[in-house]
Amino acid sequence: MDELRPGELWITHGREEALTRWSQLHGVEARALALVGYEDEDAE
Amino acid sequence: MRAFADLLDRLSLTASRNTKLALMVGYLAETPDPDRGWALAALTGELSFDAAKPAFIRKAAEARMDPQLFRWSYDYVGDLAETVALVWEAKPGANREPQLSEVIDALTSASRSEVQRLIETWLDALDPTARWALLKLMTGGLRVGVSARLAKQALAQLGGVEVAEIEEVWHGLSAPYGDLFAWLEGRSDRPSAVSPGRFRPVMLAQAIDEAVDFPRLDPAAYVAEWKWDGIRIQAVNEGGVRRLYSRTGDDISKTFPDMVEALDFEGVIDGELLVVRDGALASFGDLQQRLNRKTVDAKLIQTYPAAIRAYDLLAEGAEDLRHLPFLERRERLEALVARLGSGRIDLSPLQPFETWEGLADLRSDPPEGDAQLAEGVMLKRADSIYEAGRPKGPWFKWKRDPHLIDAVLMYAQRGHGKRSSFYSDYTFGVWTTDALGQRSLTPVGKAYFGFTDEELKQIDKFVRDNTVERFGPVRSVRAEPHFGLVLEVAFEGLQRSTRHKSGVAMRFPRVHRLRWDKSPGEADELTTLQRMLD
Repeated sequence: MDELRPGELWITHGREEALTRWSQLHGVEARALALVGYEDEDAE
Repeated sequence: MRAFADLLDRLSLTASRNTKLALMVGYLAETPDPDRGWALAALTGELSFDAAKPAFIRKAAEARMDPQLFRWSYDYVGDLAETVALVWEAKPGANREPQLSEVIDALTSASRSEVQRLIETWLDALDPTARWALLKLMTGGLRVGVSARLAKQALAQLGGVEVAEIEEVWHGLSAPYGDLFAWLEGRSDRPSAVSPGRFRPVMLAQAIDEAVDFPRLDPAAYVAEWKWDGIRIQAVNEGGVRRLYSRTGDDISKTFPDMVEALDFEGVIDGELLVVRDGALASFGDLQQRLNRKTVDAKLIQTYPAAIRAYDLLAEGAEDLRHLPFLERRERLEALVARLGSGRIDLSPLQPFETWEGLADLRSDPPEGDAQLAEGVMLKRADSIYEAGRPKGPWFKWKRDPHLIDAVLMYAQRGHGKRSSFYSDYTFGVWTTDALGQRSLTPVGKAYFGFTDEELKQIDKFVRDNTVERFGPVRSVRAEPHFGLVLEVAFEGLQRSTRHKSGVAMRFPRVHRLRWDKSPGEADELTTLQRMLD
C-alpha cells in the first residue's frame, strides 16, 4: 500500500472491517466488495 | 523475562506432554532463583495481581493506536495479550528489558497508576514474544497447555522424587519457592508438610470402559455410590484452621462462609459440595449461582444453601487415614458424620449391588429422590487406599449416558483466537408448532465443541455456502424443513430457564454427530425437551 499509493481501494476478501479502517487512517478511500464465493472457497 | 518468554512460547507451540515436561525441567534447572520460582508460580496459577487489570492493557493499547483498528484486531485475534503483543508500536529508545522478578515485584507493590505507566515502559522494551509473555503473566491464565499437575511433575523430575511428594508439601510453600528448589537440588531437607489446614492431593477415578473393565473386575471387590452432580471439595478443620478446597486445591472458603462455619469436626473430609434445600438435593444450576463469586450475601446463602455430601475421610484429628482401606475409612466417616448430627454434612450412601448387570439397572433407572439428579455411579474397591492422582484400577466413574437430540443449525459465529477464521460457535434450534399449525425453529442452545477439526471444516463450509444474512461476526444459515444441517447434540441435563426464549437451558451441550443424512424437518420438537423437564 505504501508503495502503490492507490487513490481508491477495493477489498475483495480478508478482514474487511479492519482493512477498511487501516486504509482510512492512511488516507486511502477503501470499500469492501461482497464477492459471492470468494472468501468461501477456503478459510483464509 | 527473556527466558520465561521463550519457555511460554515453546510450551504453547508443542502439544506433546513429554516435550512440555522437558522444556519446564530445562528451564527450572537453568534459571536462577527467584525468577524460576515466579515462573513456577505463574505456571501453577498461583499468581494474581490486583493492580494489573486487562482494562489497563486495553487502555494502553488504545492510547497508542487507533482504538477502532485495535478493537477490530482484538475481535479477529480473540486474545487480548496476543493482540496487544502484535500491534504494539514501540517507541524507540534505550529501554532495558525487565527481569521476571522485577516485573513481579513491581506488580505486587506498585499502585494502579504506577502499573499503568510501567506497562507501557515494559511493552516498549520487549519484543512481541516477550510482550505476549508479560501480558499473559499480568492477566493470569497462561493457556500454554500446562496444568498445575504437569508443572509439579516437572518439579518431581527435576528433583528425582515422586509427584505425590511435591503435592504433599506444596500447600505449605509459597512463591518464589526457594526452600522447595533447595530440597529438590539436595541442598536442604524436605520442607515441612505440616501446615494446619493444608490441602491433601485428591484421588480421582478413571472412566470405566464397559467392554474391557467389567469382564475382568469382580463385583464383590467393589462398592458403589452415586456420582453426585456438584463440585468435589475437601473440607478441612485442623487445629482451628478451617478451609474448603476445590479438587485442584484452590481455597474456596471465602465463597462458602456458611459451609466453613458448619465444619464442626477435626479432620479432613472428601465429599461433594451441593445445594440442598429442605433435605432435598437441588440441581447443579442452583449450585452454579454460588460458584466463582468473590462476595456472598446472606440472601444468596439463604436461597442457595450449601451442604456437603461426604464420601471419604482422609484424616481424623491428627491421624492420617489415607493408608487405610476404603471400608475402614468409610466406617470412621460414618461414625464421624453420625456424631456431628449436622444438617449441612451428610453421607453419600453406599448402593448395594450383586452383579454388574444389577448396577447397570440402578444406574439407568435410579430410585426416587436425590439419586435422580446423580450423574451416574462411582465404583470404589473396598480395599483401596487413598492414593493421590488417578491410579488405574481402584476407583471408576460410570457416567449415565448423555441425553441426545437432533437439532438444526440456525446461526454460526466466528470463533476466537486460533479458530477466528472458522465459524465454530453454533446456535441450534428445534421445532415448535403454533396455534395455526405453523412449524418454526426456536433456538435452544449453543455448542462450540464436540466436533473434530475435519468436521469443523465441513460445518464452516456449509455455513459459508448457505449464509442467509450476516450480522457482524454472526451468520444465519439456511434452516428449512428440506434443507439445512442437522446436529446431533449431546447434553447432560436440562433446566427451566426464563432467560431463554425456548424456556429451557441445556447443561454442557456439545455437537455429538453431524447428521448430513437427516433433513431438518425430521429434527426434534421443543415438546420432546419439555417432556424431559418433568
